[in-house]
Amino acid sequence: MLRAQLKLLFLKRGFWLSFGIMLTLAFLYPVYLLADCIFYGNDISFLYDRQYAYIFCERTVLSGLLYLLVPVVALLPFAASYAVDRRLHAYYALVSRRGLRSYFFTKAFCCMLGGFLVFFLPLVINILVNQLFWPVTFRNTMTNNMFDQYFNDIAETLAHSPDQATLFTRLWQTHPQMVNVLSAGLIGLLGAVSSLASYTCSLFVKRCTYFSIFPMLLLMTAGVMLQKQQEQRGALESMSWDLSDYVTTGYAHYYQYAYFWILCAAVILLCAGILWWKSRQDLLD
Amino acid sequence: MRVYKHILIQVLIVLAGVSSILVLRSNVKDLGVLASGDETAIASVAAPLDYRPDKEASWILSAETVRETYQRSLDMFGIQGVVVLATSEGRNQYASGMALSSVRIDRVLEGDPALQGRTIDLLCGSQARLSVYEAKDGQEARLVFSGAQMNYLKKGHTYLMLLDALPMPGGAVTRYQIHGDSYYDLEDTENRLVTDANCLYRDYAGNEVFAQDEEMLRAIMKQKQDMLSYYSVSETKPEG
Repeated sequence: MLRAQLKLLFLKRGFWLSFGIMLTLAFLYPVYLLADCIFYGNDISFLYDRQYAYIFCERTVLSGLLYLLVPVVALLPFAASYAVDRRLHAYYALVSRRGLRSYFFTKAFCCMLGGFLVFFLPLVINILVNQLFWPVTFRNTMTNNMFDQYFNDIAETLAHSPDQATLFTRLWQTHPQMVNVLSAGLIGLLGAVSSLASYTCSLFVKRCTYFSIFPMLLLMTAGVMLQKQQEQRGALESMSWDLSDYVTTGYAHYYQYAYFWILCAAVILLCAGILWWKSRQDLLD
Repeated sequence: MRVYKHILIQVLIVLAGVSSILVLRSNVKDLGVLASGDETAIASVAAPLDYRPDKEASWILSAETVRETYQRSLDMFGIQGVVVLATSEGRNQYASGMALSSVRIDRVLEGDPALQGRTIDLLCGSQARLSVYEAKDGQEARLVFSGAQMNYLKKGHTYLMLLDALPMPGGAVTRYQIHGDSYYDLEDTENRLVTDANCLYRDYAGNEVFAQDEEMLRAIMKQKQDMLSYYSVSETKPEG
């Protein structure tokens, strides 16, 4: 069953469409940065270091938009496949071969795999492109910007908030691109979880499967709103409600990751529970 | 067959992306090092001094806090610190957004004694933030001291310096960087207050620090005096 579902995943136009969208963005962002340099006549060695050309390195309009599009892009690979099976009358044929539980869980696995791959691979390609085509600037060879900034401003920062948590600071100093790969992996995980949530919702949505993105979209936007409210109140905790803070490299080292992992685990467990409950239904009823 | 069609489309996207990047990359300006030489070289690159004070005297830390935060940052990042007396050799390299200055280490007060007598290229704290903007669109180039108080290292002057020893990725090379603004000129230097918004750098090139009012200047000088007395260094050039 798993082999059949995997074959279906890689044959699906949705998977290649979302992969293509992400791949295009992975190339468009460096193109935009270079065009920006040319348009304003700026010096590339002053403006960008290799690690800063990564899409999710800093909060930009593109990274903010892409973050909110995660549930949409994650839906395309495989999350709507249950509805498609029902529509094409392939559902009973597939279920009759290995049973409901195998059908639901192999499909869930393929959804997660598809959701992960369409984000992770293009973002890693983006990191490789930056590594290949960005200049080894005067600035790069000496130190990197964040390292520089830390050592120059740390006296003031530490004098005012000595207990500030810096989780990935050390890794960022020595291997900044590894922190970017970590970020790509976390976005991949978010895509996988989002895809699984959409797939689970699609079991209950008879028509317009695309509405199944809403629970995850609501969860993510609620986090953004909650964090904004918290910031307006001035209550800056070491943990952020906004999931985009955990996947954006520039912010990554400020936060504790328990919330991110717990939320992902909770969604996966909830979806697994629903799938298990759904797989117990008697098809003859 | 369908999969090959999709893979072909992805390959085309990659090729289009790479070729666009290559075309644009060949047209983008990569300035690298702007100038090298002593401080007169930089003055000839950019004449007007654009000093934008964004701090008040209360922001100037006491010498004790500077030492505490220096130690704390060393502990946090797990790196070595070195406190030295060093003389500037006047060989500087200025790039967009940063500067390297060549100094001879006269005496190591704290840290690795093997550094004594060596000549090293320093990454300069304030000078890293002191940006040189190239002339464009008919405007004159300028120096921007955004919030930084310190001038460049002066040729032949000896300084008390707090340095960070930064192991570069791979570990083969160690770079030394002045920790923040922690370098104190042992020569007695006159510091003119920067009160004119449209002043020229050459008029203030002799300054050790830039300050917009007496209160700020006093706070910086107090930090300097306390630091010199802590390390038992007098404001005269040490021998050897």
